[in-house]
Amino acid sequence: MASAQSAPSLFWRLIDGLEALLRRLVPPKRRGVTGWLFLAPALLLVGILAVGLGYIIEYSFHELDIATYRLKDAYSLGNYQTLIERPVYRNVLWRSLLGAALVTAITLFFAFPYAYAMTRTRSAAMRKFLLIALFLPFFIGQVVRAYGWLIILGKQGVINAMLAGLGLGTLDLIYNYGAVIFGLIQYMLPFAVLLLLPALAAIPEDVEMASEGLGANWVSTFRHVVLPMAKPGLIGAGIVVFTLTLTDFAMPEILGGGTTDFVASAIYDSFFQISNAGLGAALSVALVLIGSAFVALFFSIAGSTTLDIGGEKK
Amino acid sequence: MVDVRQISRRFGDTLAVDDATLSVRRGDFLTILGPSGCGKTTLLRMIAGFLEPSGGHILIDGKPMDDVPAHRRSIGMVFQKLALFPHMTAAQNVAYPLKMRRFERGEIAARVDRFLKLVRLDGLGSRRPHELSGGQQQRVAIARALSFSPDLLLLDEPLSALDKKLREEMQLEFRRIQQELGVTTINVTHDQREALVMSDQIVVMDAGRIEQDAAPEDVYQNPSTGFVARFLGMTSVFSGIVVSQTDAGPTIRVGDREMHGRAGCAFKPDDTVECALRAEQIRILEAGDDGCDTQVVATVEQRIFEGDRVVYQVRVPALADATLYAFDHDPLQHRRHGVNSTITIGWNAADLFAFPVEPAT
Amino acid sequence: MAKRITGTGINRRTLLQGTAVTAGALMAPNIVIAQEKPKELIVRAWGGAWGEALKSGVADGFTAETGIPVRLDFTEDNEIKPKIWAAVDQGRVPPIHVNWDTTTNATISARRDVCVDLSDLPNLKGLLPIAKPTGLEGWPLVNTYSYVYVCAYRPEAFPEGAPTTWKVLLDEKFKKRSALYDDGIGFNPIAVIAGGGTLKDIPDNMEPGWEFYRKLKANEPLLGEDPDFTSWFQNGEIDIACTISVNARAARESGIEVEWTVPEEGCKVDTDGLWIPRGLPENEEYWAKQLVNYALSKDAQEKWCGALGLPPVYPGLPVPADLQGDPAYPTTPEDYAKLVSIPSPILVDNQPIWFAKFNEIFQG
Repeated sequence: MASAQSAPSLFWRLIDGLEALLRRLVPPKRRGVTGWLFLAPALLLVGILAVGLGYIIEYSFHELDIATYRLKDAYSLGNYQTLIERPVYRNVLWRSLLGAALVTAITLFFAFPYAYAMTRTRSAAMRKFLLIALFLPFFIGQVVRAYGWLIILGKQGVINAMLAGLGLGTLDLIYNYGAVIFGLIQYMLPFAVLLLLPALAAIPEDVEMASEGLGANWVSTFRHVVLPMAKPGLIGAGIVVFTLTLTDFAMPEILGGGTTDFVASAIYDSFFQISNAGLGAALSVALVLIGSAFVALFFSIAGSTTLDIGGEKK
Repeated sequence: MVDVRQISRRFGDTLAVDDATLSVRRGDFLTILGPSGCGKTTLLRMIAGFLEPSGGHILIDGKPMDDVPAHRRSIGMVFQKLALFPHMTAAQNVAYPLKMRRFERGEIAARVDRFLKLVRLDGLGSRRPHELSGGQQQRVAIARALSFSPDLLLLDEPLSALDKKLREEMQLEFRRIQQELGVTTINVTHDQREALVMSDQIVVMDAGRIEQDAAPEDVYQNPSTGFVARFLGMTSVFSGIVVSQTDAGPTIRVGDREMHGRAGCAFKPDDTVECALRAEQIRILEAGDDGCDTQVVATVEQRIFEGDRVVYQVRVPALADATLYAFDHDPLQHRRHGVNSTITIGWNAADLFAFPVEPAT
Repeated sequence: MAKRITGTGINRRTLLQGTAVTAGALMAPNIVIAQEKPKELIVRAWGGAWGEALKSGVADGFTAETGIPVRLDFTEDNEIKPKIWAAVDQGRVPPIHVNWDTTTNATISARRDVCVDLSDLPNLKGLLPIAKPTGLEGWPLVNTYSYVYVCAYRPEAFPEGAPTTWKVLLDEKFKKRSALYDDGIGFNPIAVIAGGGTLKDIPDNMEPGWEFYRKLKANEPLLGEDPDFTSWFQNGEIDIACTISVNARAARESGIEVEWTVPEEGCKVDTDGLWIPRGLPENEEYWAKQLVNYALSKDAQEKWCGALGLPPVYPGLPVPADLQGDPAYPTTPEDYAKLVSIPSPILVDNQPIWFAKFNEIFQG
C-alpha cells in the first residue's frame, strides 16, 4: 500500500511543480494571450495567403498590353470576359470538375474498404502491412510516380510488353484522360484512407454487431449503420480529394500527353507560356470560386453539423 | 429452450471458454456470473452468433445454430456499451430490427409505440441517443432488443456503467419487463447482487469453466466450490486440516481449535481444506451468550461503518491469526467495539463450508 | 568604384547597394576600367543535348580564358521570364546573368524593357544579318544561330521513304502517333500552308491553319516540349513529329532510328539568342557581356553550333559532316527558300492569339 501510494504522489508533486512554474511564467491574467500566441503562426500563414489572393484578384482586373507586356493600368473585366467567351476554358474547367468528381468517387470507393480493414483487422501483422503499403507511396513524389506510370504503361512498358508477348497487340494506356484519372486515384488513395481511418475507428464494433443481431445482413448493416456513421470521414476525405484533384497540375501534365489539361495547366500557361498574368489571375480566381462553391455545396448537402466541429453536443 | 453443449472457444493459446454446458428453460432469467475475463461475454457472444465456437454446439428450441448467422437468429441483445445507433432517433432505433425483419409499416409504428411505452419512454421517441440520459438510453436499448419479439434476450452487462442507485432501479425494471413479456433471458454480469436479485438461475463461471449452475438461493447457500463461496457475499476464508469425517460433515482443525463444518464431498483425515464463513453468519456474542457451535475470541483490527451496518475486520489468534469479517446489523446500538478491543464471535457448524484446496493456477 | 570592391566574399546585394549610390559615376565606358571578376556566371539554358552543346562550345572555353566558372541553370525558359521581370520591376538582382532564349520570348522581354543593350560588343561586327533582332532598337538581344522545325519521323513507319507533305499527319495510320509542341510553336505558319493558305495569309488570315488543326485534333497528336520528343521516339510512342532538328539528331545519336525532312509545305525556320537582364551589379554585367561576346566568337560559334548541328550567325564556318546538304542546315539562299521565316514582331504580336486558338482547338 505504502509503495503504491508513493509513486503517484511523486508524479503529482511533479505536476504541481510544473503548474507552479507555469503560473510564475505566465500570470493568470495573461493566460488568454498564450492561446493566441500559439495560433499566431497559423494566422500569419493564412494572412499571407489572403494578401496573395488579394494581389491575384487585383491582377485579374487588368488586361495585358502586348506592346509592353505589362498589365494595363485601367481596370476592366476583359479577362473574365475572355474566360466566358472562349469555349476552351469552359471545356478545361468541365474536364477538371468531372475529373475531380470521378477521382473523388472512385478513390473513396477504394479507400473505404482499405481503411475499414485497417480498423477491423485483429492481426497486428496485417495492420502493419496495410500501414506500410499505405505510407510507402507517400515517400515517392507525385512527379516520380507519374513517370513511373509512363514506364509501366507506355508503348514499350511492362503491360504492353506482356500483351504483345501474348499476341494481343498493344493498348494506348497513357496520354489520355483515363490515364490522368488513374494516376490521380492512385495518388489520392493514401490521403483518403488516412482521412477515413479516424472516422471508421470511431465506429464501435458493438454497433455493427448490434445491427447484425437485430436482423440486418452485412449489406444492410453497411448501408444503414456503417455508412451513415462514417459520413463525417467520407465528407472530409471527399472534400480533400476533390479540391486536390481539381487543382492538380502534375498528373494531367505528365500522363495527359498535352491534350488533357486541367485548370492548373491553363493557369500555368497564362502566367508563363503567354506571360498574361491578368488572364492567369482571372482563371485562378474562377478556380477558387468554383472550388469553394463545390465545397459549400458538399457541406449543405451533408448538413452543417457533419464534421462535428463543435465537438460532442449534449 | 437454449442448450449449450460442451462449448469451447480458443483465442490463440488461451481457452476463453472451456467445455461449458448449460441450459435455460423457456421464460426463465438466467445470469452468468463471474469476474471480468472469466469468459462469460465470450460465451454470450457465441450464443448470439457473433463468435464461432471452437468446439461444441448451441441449440435453440432444439435446432442447432452451427450454421445460422447472427442476423438469422431470433435474439435480442443489449450491449455493455448499449451500441445504440447515434444517427437515429430513439424511435428509429426501436424500429430498426422491425424494418430489417420486414414487418409491415403499420405494425412497426404500433410496436415502436408499444415498446417505448413499455420502457416508459413515450414522448421521447424523436430524441437522438445523445439527447437522452444514461437510464433512458438503457431503456431504448432494451426496447430495441425486444421490439421484434425475439425468442431470446441477451444482456451483456448493460448495467455496469450506471451508478449504484440507477443500476438497482434498472435491475428491477429489467426484471419487470422480462416477466411482463415472459421472454427467455440470459444476462451476464460480475455483480453478485444483480445476479441474485434478477435471476431464476445463476451460472457461476471462473477462468472459462462453469463452477456452479443452480437457483440463486442454492448458489448462495450451498456454494459448490471455494470460488463460488468467495465470489458471493462477504466471505472469510482460512485453511484447516481434516481431523475426521462423518455423515454430518468433517471435523477440521484450524490453528489450536477443532470445529465442525459442512461439505459437498467426503474428506479423508489430514486433507487440507479451505474453510469459508460468510460475514452475516458470524455473530458477535454478548457475555454469557453461548448459542453457537463454535466460539472464539478475536481482536478488532478495523471497523467500517456502511450506514445500514458495521463491518468488523477481526483477527483470531486461536485460528492461526486468521482474518474474519463480521457484520453488526443492529441499527439502534451499533455496538461500538473500538479498534484493538477484544470481542467474542461465534458461528454454527452448518454455516462453515469446507472445500478441497484448489490447485494453484 | 572598382577599387572599392576588393574582397571576393562580397555578395551581390552589397555590390548592388554600392553601385546604386554611385550610379551617376558609371557613365565611363566599362571596358576601360578593369572589372572585378564574379565568383561565377549563371546562364539559363535548355537541358539535354542543348545544355551539353553550350557547355562544351561556350562555357568551358570562356572559363578557360577568363577563369570565371559558368553554371547552367535549367529553369524553364517560360518560368525564368516572370522571375527576371519581377526582379527588374522590384529593383532586385535578377537570378541569372545570361538568358539563352527563343528570339520570340527574348523580343517580348525586350519590349518589357528588361534587357541590357549589347551594341558595344566587338564580336557583333561581321555576323550574318540574321543576328540582328528585328523590330527593336539597338541590340537588346543577339541571335546566335538559326534552327528548323523539321518533320522528324521513324523510317520504319515510312517504308516508301520520307513523307513529302505535312498532310500525312492527318493519316489515320498515325492516330495518336504524331506530336507537336504544346503551344503550337514551330508549326502555326506551316499549318496555314498545309491547310491551303499561303505565306501572305499570315498573320491576317490564319483560318486555313486552324482548319488543319481541327482535322489534326481528330487524329489525337501528343503535345510536348523538347525532351518529350526525344523520349517519345525512344519509347516508340510516336512515328512522326514537328520538332527542332536538334532533338531528332540527339535521338539519332543515342541510337534511335530517326530521320528528318522538309516536306513540300516547308518548315519554319527561327532563331535563338542571348540577352542579359538589367539590374546586375556593374562588374557582373560586364563579365556577362564578355560571355555573350565570347559566344559570338568564331571558335565558340563553331563548337557550339557544330554540337547543336545548327547554322551559326558567324559566317563561313564548315558544315558538320553528318549535315552536309541537310535541309535542316540551310546555308544557301535556295535552302532558305524552302523554309518559312516569320519576322519576330509578327510572332510576338500574335503569340498570345495563336496560343489561345491552338489551345482552344486541342484542349477543347
